[in-house]
Amino acid sequence: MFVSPDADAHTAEARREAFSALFERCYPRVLRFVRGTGKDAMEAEDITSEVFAVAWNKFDLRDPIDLNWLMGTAINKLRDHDRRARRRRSETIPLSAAVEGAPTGLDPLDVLAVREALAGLTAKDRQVLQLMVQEGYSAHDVGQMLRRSEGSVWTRASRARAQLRKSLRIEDNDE
Amino acid sequence: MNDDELDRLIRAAHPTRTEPDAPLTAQQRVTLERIMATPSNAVTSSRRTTRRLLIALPAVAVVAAVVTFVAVSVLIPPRPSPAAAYGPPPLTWAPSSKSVAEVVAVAHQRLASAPGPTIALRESTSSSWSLAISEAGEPEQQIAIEPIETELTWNADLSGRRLTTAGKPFRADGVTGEIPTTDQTPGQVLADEEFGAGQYPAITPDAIELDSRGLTALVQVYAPASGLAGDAMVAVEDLSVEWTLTNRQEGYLLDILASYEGLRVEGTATDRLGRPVVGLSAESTISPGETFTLLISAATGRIVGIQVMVTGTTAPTPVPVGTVTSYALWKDTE
Repeated sequence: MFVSPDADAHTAEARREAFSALFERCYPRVLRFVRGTGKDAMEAEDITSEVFAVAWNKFDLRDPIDLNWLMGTAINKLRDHDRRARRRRSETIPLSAAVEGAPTGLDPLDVLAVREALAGLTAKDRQVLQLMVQEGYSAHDVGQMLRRSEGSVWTRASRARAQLRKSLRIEDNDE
Repeated sequence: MNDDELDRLIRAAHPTRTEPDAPLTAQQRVTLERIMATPSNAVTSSRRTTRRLLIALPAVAVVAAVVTFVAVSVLIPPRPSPAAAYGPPPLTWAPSSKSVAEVVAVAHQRLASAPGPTIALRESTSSSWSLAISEAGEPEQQIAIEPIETELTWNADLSGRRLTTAGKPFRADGVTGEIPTTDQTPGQVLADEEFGAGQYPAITPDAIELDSRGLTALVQVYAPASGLAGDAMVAVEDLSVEWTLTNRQEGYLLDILASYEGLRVEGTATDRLGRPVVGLSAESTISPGETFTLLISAATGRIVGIQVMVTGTTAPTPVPVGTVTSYALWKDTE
C-alpha cells in the first residue's frame, strides 16, 4: 500500500483548518480567563499563545482537543508562570484598571475589594469561582478542567463563597 | 447577601469586559499563523500509516540490527547513563565565620572600588533556569539542565527588546562528563521580543532616582515586616531582572536586606558561571517551603544571582527537599 504525497498534503491542510477553527472559537475564551487571574493584557496574550502552541503540537484530527483541555493547560501554564515569577505581591491590579473595568453602577472600590478577597483564596478555590461564576462553565466542565470530580468542584465553590463573604465581612442571607 | 448577589459582585470584579466570543484581533491572527508555522510533534493519520509501512518493510534488517546490538553490548560494558534530577545540584558552600553585618561591610569595600554604571541602566543580562512543569502540572526530571540567556534593554517610554537564547547545558546529576543531547543548541534564539512604546511590562518603571529611602519603600512593598528577609530578596530579584543598578544602589540594597531578621550567611562558593560568591539565605512567605539564597560577588560586592531551593514540605512544587527549583545569575561589572 502506498500513501501519496497528495494525501499527506490534504491531511495537513485539514489539520490546519481544524486548528484554525479551534483557535478562533476558543482563544478569546482562554484569554479572558487568563486576564481574569490578574495578568496584564500582554502577559495574558503570551500565556494564551503558549497554551495554543502546546495544543498545535498535540493536535490530532483523530483525537480532537476541546475547550476543557485548553483551560486545563492554561491553569497549568498559569501555575508554572506564577511559580517562576513569584510576583504575586507585585501583581496587584492598578486602581485605574479597576475603574476602567468596573461596570456602570458599581463603586470601583467595591470591585477592588472583591478582587482582593478573590486573591486571598487558595489558587484552586479561586479558579473554581473564576471558571464557574465569571466564565459561566458548569461544575462538570470545571471538574474536567481541574481534573477533579464534579462533587469536589461544588464543595470548593461553596467553601470559596463562604471565605469570600468572611473576607468582605458580608452575611449569608441564604440560611 | 445570597449566592446570586455575591456572584454578581464576583462577575463585576472580572478585570476585562472582553466577551468570550469576541472576534480575533489582527495580532491574534498573526499569533495563529506563527504557531502553525512551527513544526508539530503530532503526526497526521496518513503519515502514521506511512511510518508503519516503512517500519514493517525492513523488519528483517531491524531484527539483524538488534542481534548485532545485543552481541556488541555483551562485549562492551555500557557506560553509566546520566542520572535524571528535578534540578541542578545545589551550590556547595564553604562555611564562613562572618556575620551578615561583616559580609555586608566587606561588600561595601568591594563596591567602593569596583566598576559600575554611574546611573542605573534599564538593562539586564542573565543566565537562568527554572524547574520544568509538565502540561499535567507535575514537575519533570531532567538529564540535562538547559539554562536560558536573556538580554533585556528597554527605555523610559517602555519600549525595548528582550532576546532569549539557549545557554550551555550541563548534566543534572552534577557529574562532569559527556553532556546529553538536548533539543536546543547553545546560542539558538528562543525568543526575540520587540516592545513598542508603552508595551514593556516593567515591574519597576523607574529606579534611576531611587536612593536608600526609595529602595527601602520599594522592598517594603514585598516585605513589609522585619521577619520577611526572603520576601525582600524577591524584591531584589525583580529589580535585577530589568535594571543594572549603580554600586551605591547595590550597597543600599545590601543594607536594607541586612536590616531584616532571619538572614544568615551560607558561606562562600563558586557560582554556575565560575565566579566566587558569598551567599545570604532566608525563607520566603511568597514561596513557603523554599529558601532563597542571594549571591554576592566576592570580587565586586554586587548582587549577582539568586538560587531557590526546596527546604520544607510546604513548597508549592512536590519535589524532594534539597531540590533547586530555579536560579538566576546576573552579569557582573568585572
